[in-house]
Parts: sequence; structure tokens; C-alpha cells
Amino acid sequence: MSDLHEELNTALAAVEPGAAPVEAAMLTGRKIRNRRRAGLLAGAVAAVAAVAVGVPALTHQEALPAPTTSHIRVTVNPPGPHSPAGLIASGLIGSKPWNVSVESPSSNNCAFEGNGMSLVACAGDQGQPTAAAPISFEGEGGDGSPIPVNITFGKVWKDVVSARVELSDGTILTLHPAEVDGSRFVAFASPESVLVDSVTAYSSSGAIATAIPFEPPGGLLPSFEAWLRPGQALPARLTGTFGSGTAQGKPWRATAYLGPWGTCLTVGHDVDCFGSPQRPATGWVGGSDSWVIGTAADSVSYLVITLKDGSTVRAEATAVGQQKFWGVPLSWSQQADARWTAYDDVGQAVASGSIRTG
Amino acid sequence: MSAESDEEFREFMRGRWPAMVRLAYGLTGDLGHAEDVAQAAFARAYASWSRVARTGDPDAYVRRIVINENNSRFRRRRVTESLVDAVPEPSGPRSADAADALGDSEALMRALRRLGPRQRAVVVLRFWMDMSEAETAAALDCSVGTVKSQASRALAALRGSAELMEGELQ
Repeated sequence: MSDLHEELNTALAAVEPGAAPVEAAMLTGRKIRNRRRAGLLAGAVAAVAAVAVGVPALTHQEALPAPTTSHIRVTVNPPGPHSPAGLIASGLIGSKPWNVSVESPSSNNCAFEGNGMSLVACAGDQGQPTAAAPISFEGEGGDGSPIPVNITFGKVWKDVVSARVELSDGTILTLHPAEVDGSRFVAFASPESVLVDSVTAYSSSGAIATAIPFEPPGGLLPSFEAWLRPGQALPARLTGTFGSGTAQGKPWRATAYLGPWGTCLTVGHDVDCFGSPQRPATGWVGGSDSWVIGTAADSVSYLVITLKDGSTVRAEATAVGQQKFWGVPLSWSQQADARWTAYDDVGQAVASGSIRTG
Repeated sequence: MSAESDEEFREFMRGRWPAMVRLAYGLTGDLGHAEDVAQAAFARAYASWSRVARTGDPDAYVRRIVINENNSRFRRRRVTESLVDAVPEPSGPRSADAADALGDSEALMRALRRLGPRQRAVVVLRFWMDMSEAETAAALDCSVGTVKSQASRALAALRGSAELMEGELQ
């Protein structure tokens, strides 16, 4: 046996890993920790329907943990004439300074420094802003010393001259876009314990649109998918389960959250949001390596997913509000080359398509 | 978490990263997966770092998570597990005088990769990590009898592998 031990020693010693991704591991660790906190606080989510109102009441969905009552001073400032190249914004969290800058001209990723920590790539490939969604926000969270913070960062539509951020502790932040390498950006940092109630983007002639983000019950960061035009009625807030069961010995539950943030579907810690005002047709919209979740037209009663090996899985189409959803546990490998067929209540096939491949 | 404990974690991870990746590489046979598994393990350790650090043996904690992560990975992706002939090249530079030894090592790694994931894990834990049969069984969440039988079959397969020179394994 000792020969085998030595052989293995030699073979494995020949492996030269790359540099330790310390900051990335810490970032993931913080998310794990925050999910635990959120999971403890969120508890069971009851289906709650709210009526649409004409004037936006800028509050969050009922699933959220209560924000902290202790006020932490937060400020944000645009870069000045003598600021370093690439700087997007800077400010204070409590008494600690922070800044966000574009990491490199080609990447459009941002780098956050301050509050006792340093994060790179805190925004990845956020989409392009449009007239309908004037800021394409992404974010990251980290709990450096002394105050855990979220960093929210986005590209800005060309007409936007400023944005107003309302935080759940009453803080109002005004963001001014900074141009770097032909793109315009805004960024702000906020304590993790404080939620983002809304962001309103302004042009030189007034408000363009307001986003009320979705705060995933088991997640970390808000999702800004839907933007409401001035005067637009708030969509009803509605939460409902559209799938549940046991997979590989573990319970699972798929939940739809409808509201001013658009539609967000969650299974475990996986969240998929879409903000389109048009009701989606039948198809899959997201999932993970363990789940597939999707939408269905009114006429659809159930779907049959046919796997590559010919076996089938049935998913019921369940209405939450006016929209039908479906979800099934499917491993990543099962998703490869899988196809779905949607049936109406008399068993007639009404639509079909494919699920993503590996 | 304080800046001091963050720095403590950074130092720990930088120091133990190569060893954990090598362990994960032995278990997975793929350097990319190995780095993913090791990174996930360190992330989980960081999520509980104040508690992990207090155990006095964070190395054992992370090692255990690496093994668990690998077990989970195979549970999740068993269907996609496939055997390939080519072993990924190590990402770092090799010294020229190690070339001969590496030739034999790569043959061993190829043979190891042809084992099933459970047998490969048994080989790495029993014969590289020098875990006892009971420790290996606990780590892999199986019986001691399974460890014995898997080890026996794994060694037989390694001995019978054309990749390995006759007499290398005693």
C-alpha cells in the first residue's frame, strides 16, 4: 500500500492549482450566511392578495424580514473633477468611506472598496438600459467590517440625468450618472439591513420610471426587473405556490411572487424574475441545475416533459392570479435535450418546445 | 465578522488552498471541478468561520466539506459522470526533472479516473489520506463493508490497468 500512497502523493503533488480565490469564496460565504439569516426570518409565506391602487405605495412584499430600526447614515456622491479615472460614486456608510469604480474599460465590471473590504467584479454583465427600463441594476453583497453592505450598480439610459433611491429607513439618495468609456453608470452602497424601497429615474423633463424591487425571501439582493411609468397603477401583489413535492428525499416548493416588481419565481434559493407587462406564453423561464420552472397559457392544464431517455415527467399548470405557472424537479443532466408538450384539460396537445440543454 | 478574523481566514485559505484542491482533484479527477469543489468548501467554512476557527482544526472541517461537496456533486450529477482518456494538464509550470515521475503519475491518474466515483473516493481517502476504513466509511456515508469491497475492487482495477506498469502496486 505504501507504494500506492507514494504514487498518489506524486500524482497529486503535480497538480498546481491557480491562485486561491479568497475574495470570491468570502463573497459566497457571506451570501450563504445571509441566506441563513433570511431563511430564519422569512418563515412560511402565506398567499396574500392585495388590491391594485392608483398611487404607488412604496413598500415591500410581505415576505420580507423587518428592516432594522437603527439608522445608519448613508451618503453617495458623484465623482468630482479631480476624482480618479473610472470612479462612479463614493460616500459613507456610517463613518466609513466607500467608493465604486469601473474595474477596467473592457469589462464594465465594478470594484467596490471601503467599509473594511474590497470587492471586484461586483457587477457582471448587467443588461443594457432601455427607455422602458432606464437603469440595468446588478448588485453584490458583502459583510465587511463594521457594517454589512449591499452594493448596487448599473448602467444608465442616455436620457437619465439623475435617480432617486428611497431606502426603508427613510434615507433618500440622489444618484448622478458618471460616464466611463462611453457608458454611463450609477452606484450606491446601502447597509444590508436596510431595504431598497424604490428607485426613480429622471430625465431633464421629469420622472421617467420607478422600480420597486423584489427582495427574495431566501436571497440577498433586490431584483429590478419592472419599471412603472408615472401614474401607472401598481400591479396587485400576489403570492402563491405552483408546485411542491419531494425530490431526492428533500421537500421543494415553487412560489410565484407577483407585484410591482413584475413576476418572480422562486424554488429554494433560486430566483427568476421577469418584468414584462405582457403575459408570457407557455414555456420554461428558468430554474437551476435541479429545477425547471415556467409559465403556461390559460388553455394549458398540464405539461409533459419528455427526457432524452424517453421517460416522462408531468407538471401541473397552476394559476397564481391571472397567470399559470409550472415547476418540476429535474437534474441538469435530465434537462439536456428534454422537450415539453402542453395539454389542455381534454388532453389535446396545444404547444410544445424544448428545455435548455446543458 | 471582524477585519481581523477576515484576515485570519484569508491566510488560512491561501495556505491550505493547494492541499484542498489536490484532495478534490483526487476525488473528482478534474482540475476545474476540483477548484470549484474546494472554493465551495472554503466559502462554507467562511460562512461559519467564527465557529470553525474555534474548533482549533479548521483544516479538518474544510477537508470534510470537500468530501461532502464531492459526494453531493456525484449525487446531483451522477448521470453526467463520464470517463475520459485525457487528464487535464496541471495549470502550473512543471520542472523538467519531474517529467519522468509525472509520466507515471499521469498513468495513475488516468487509471484512477476510470474508476467509479465511489471507488475513486475510497482510494483517495484510504490510500492517500490514510484514513481508516471506519473513517472512510463515515466520510462517504456508507458502511465499512462497502469501503472494504470498493477498495478491493478499486485496487484490482488499478492493478489490472494497462496504464500502469506491472509491479507498481503492491
